[in-house]
Amino acid sequence: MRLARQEFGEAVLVTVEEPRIDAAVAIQFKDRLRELAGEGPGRVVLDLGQVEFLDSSGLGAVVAAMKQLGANRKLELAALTPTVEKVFRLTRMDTVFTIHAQAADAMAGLAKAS
Amino acid sequence: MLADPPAAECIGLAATPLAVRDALAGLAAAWRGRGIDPELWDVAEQVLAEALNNVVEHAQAGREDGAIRLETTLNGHGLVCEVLDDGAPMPGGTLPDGRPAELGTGLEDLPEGGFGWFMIRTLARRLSYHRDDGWNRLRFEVPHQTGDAVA
Repeated sequence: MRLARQEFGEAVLVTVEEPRIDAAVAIQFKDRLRELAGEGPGRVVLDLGQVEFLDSSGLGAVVAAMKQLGANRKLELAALTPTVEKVFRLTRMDTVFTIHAQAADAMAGLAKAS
Repeated sequence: MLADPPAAECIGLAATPLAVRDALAGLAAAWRGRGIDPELWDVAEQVLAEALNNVVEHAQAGREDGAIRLETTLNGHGLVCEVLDDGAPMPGGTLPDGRPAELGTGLEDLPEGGFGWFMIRTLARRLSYHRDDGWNRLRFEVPHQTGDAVA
């Protein structure tokens, strides 16, 4: 499961570098995201721009990832592809997450940490 | 003159999440090779993934030697799918309702599962289930996607 992490001030951007989040990788995805999010404060933005397929296990893992960040940290999503967007819309999970059209929108005004 | 027989693809797979992923990739390549409408395939893949994951998780429940067989046929209505497995029967002998998951009011209430049957029932039609000589036989149809379809 390839996930890449970048820090932008108080926000963490995690980019999923995989075409699928499905039942085969859902648990791995959730665990890896928790590692990369770390303990710090601030938002975690998940860039799903490369993800073409999300099944209900993958959706459950995204929800679980948000819950494990706790009430004081937000998980936001960015760059949903049409098929992934549809899964969020059908299950009404699009009403639960802040969703940005592009990762750059979520990071606007934040300087990338060196 | 005889009409062309409907296009069909059959595949057998092991009862593991990785086998489901590989089977869907193989089926996607086969149907794309036959020129299936990409929009129809996207919806079919979603429904098939949910149906197959349910078989792996519940009917076969970790029995990696459990058998799964998948038949897909393209006709005038859409992609007709039949999922067969030799695992445990559906509880109560009927398909789950697939009610939409309650989103609750707080972070801790958010559901992490229970979306699968809701998606199957939303995206597919003509669902049927039979227990037949030790096999579960789930059949459904993913309709042709038209621009004005509600989805």
